Amino acid sequence: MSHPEIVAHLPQVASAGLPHRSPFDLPELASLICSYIGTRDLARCARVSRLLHDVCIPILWRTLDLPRGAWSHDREFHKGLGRYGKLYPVERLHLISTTLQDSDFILLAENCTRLKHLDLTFTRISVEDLRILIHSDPYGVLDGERSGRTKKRKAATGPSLRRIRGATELEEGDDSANEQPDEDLNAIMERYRQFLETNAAPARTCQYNSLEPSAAEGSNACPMQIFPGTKTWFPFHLESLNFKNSIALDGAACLEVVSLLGPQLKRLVLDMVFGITNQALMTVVKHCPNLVELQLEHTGITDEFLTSFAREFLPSDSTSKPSSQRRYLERLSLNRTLTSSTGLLAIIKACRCHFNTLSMQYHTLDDRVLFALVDDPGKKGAAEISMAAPYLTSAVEYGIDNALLTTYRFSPNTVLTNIDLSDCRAISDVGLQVLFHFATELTSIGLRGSSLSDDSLMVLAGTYRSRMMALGMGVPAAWKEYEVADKRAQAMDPTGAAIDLQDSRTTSTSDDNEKTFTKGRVPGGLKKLVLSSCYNITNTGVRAILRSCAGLESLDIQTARNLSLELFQGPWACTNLTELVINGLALEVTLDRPTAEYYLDTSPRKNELREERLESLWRFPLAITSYPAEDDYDEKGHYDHIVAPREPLPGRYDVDSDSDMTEDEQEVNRSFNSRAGSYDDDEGTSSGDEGSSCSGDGSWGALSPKATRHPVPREKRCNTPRQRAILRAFYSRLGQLRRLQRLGMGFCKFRVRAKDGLELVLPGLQQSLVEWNLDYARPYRMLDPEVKFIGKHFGFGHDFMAERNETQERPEVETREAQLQLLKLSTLTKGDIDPSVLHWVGHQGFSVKSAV
Amino acid sequence: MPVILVSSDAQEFKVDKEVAERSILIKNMLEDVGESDSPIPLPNVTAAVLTKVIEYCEHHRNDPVQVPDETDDPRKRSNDIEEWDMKFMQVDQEMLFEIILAANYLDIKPLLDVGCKTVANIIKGKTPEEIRKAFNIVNDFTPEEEAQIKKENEWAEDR
Repeated sequence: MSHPEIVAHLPQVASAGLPHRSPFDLPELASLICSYIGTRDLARCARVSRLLHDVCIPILWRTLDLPRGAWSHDREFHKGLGRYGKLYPVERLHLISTTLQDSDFILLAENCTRLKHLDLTFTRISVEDLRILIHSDPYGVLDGERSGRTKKRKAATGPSLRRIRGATELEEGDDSANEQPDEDLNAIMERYRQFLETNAAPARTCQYNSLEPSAAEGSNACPMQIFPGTKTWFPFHLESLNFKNSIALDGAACLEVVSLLGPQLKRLVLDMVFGITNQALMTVVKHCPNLVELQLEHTGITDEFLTSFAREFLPSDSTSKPSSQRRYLERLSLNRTLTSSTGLLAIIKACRCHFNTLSMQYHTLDDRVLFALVDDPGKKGAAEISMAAPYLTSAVEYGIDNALLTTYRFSPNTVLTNIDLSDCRAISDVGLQVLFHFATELTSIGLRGSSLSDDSLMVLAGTYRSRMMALGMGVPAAWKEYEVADKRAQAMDPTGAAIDLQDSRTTSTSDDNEKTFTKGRVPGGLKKLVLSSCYNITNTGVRAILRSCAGLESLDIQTARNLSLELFQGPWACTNLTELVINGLALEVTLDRPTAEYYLDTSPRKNELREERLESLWRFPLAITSYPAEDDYDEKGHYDHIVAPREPLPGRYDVDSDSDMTEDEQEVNRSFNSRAGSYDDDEGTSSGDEGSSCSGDGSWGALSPKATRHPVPREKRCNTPRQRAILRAFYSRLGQLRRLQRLGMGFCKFRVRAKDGLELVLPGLQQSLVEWNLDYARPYRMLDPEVKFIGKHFGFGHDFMAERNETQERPEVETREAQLQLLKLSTLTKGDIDPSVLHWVGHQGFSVKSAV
Repeated sequence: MPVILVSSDAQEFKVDKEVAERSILIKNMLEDVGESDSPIPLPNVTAAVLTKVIEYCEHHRNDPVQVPDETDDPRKRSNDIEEWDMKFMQVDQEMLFEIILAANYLDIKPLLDVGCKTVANIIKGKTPEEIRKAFNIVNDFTPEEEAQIKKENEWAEDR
């Protein structure tokens, strides 16, 4: 009983009656728990006990995503790879930006025999390196026609084959491959893998003890017996290769090696690999019938490849393989290529029913491609055209020929889930509307910089709602609320009758008996939407999305210059957002860019203004409240704008004359004047020493670097109660987003002030936010109170003053509730903040970085 | 029709069939046995734990059947626990473990997942010694072995 382990167990057995049961005693439960923890914690867990070691190490080594430099410098890692590599197969290896040598590839080839995914992004690998890994030709692709293949010829195909004999012997020992020359490549692949499995599969459940060097030798002995002279194996499981930005790679030569993978290859990424020719790529495509993903960003391929690739899928009557053996292409990326609609149409026609991901940034494609995605030429009759009828009217508006649309037989496409059409200037609203109407299962849509308008967003939101209805989940409560409120608002708004509502075409009056969706998860449907730099969309369209798409997780509306913070008011359906990027958003529609035409009836922004009036006056009235006058002054007694004037107007910033001020402002100023130095634009104050700024009574000039000085007006009250109400609505909305992890609020055209209700964000953001971007190109974005607020509520939570006084009394292990890891502030913002506050916030458990 | 469940300490629980069938074990059992009002004994679950489990099943009685994630990445996320579930899991560790074991035994996949995620969140950021302490796990490595494992997996730790 002297053994410490037994003693440790005794009290529990005695007290509980039953032996203490823990999921860590059961390998399958421990394994489930460990599947939820990250790389770093896995490595730590592996050191806890033998059982946890055996559970964690396979998970840890299955995906090797190495930190920068670890491959080249960490010798222990190499030893570990030697020890673990075969026992716990490495399936995914990411060697991004790693400097690799020839020996590294031998190491890889010897130890990662079950590699499935190899990512060589930004490495300088050469074709020779690749040949070490993919050294053999088990599928006989080099001979071209499989019928003419013989054992002898295959063995003598290239010097690389003789260099590493192992796999060649595997083929030669495998007679059946030759006996059945017409066998399907897939069957051969399966047989090779089974062979590998039965002959060399290591014991999977391996105690740590068996990893001792002597035992490791024993496990190595198995393959060595089969292939004397070499330990190198053909990577029979390799199915995904990523060569993105591998600048040393010559496209054509590398493709020759890649095609040796034959039926194994499923995914090939050649983004920015130069020297790829249409012919070279065709050979890969011909030899790899299982290829489903192809990424060709910024390569030199043209329509010629796409059209000849499309021909591969057609049932052929000649000697070539029947098309039944070829898998259809599912994911295609043609960003920044010289291909055009012609090639795309051919490939889409061939694989239309299988494409689920299409990425075509900076592409010249036009509406025909979008139509083709939802066009089913095989469909009989013209019934489906009537479904597209609503768009025909708008097609005329957009100048598109009706006759063109009537040639299509539109039908729903339920396969397409991801589409990226960023910066495609040739597509129009009509194309997008048709796509959004018929492609019902879209989960991710990228439309950066495209010219779509609210109409398309309305269709997108409408499709989402009808999809939910079809699933029996009902209409999102937010949308229903909106419809009711809108009806009321239309009736009450006196100017309403004159202007047609934009959404009249798609908004159907909902039945009161309809089921309402309030909470829960929507399976599938739109998850990610990127609308950055879309200049034609307005709040109307985005509101429709926000109130319909209950499953939306990521929304990017940065620099969409006609949108405003007013979006955050009213009901929302998408409360499960994890990522929200609103960089560059204005506070109000009415205050952004007031131009001359803005006041005219012909202004295109008139509808927007009306929408905002409807929204904030009648539909969901803003809670406008009065607030104390001193809230418009900062802690140093200067006027504190929410929306800073673009540039100081001459003559209006004479601080000494209080003539413009109202009485209460003068009162406030008098009260501040005692503790704050008067606002002074002199050189003298700006060169004030650090000491005075730290003590908290320095003037503006003393805190800001001279170069970033920006006159702060303090004369006239400019902040309206409405602005503050919008901000409060915004913050309280953020407080309801309890899953939000990334929030981009950079370059927004309003200031962040603690007194505008910043504390309202806490219920949501405190428990989920990981990254917060508060970058700003101009000074005075945030001041000390805001930074103290973030430090207090997202950091360890010490009081600022207490921290300064009693630094010694910190607990050893500090804990905090918040998840925040990164706070982005611009250097200009930092210039406004008291250095001691900046120092303090830098020690709150998250990093504070400058984006600029 | 209600189903009667009997815990290991012989307490009877009357629950709706719909609620009881959140447990695949019970669901299969009911399907095999057919309509019957005889109580179902659950010898591995105590009354205290069964109360919690039934509370979970009551709250999630209308949930749609889980669709397995089709993501290619084998690593799963542990920070997507729903708010109610998070509150539900705020129990002492012994109870947390009992819930996990019961969910495993009764085959209630969503509850098992939530429990494992909760434990994973406790593990996060802890050193091996802290993990041992937190879960009462005995270190059965020799110091040399532990040092060796640490060295070989150092690459994963300094990220």
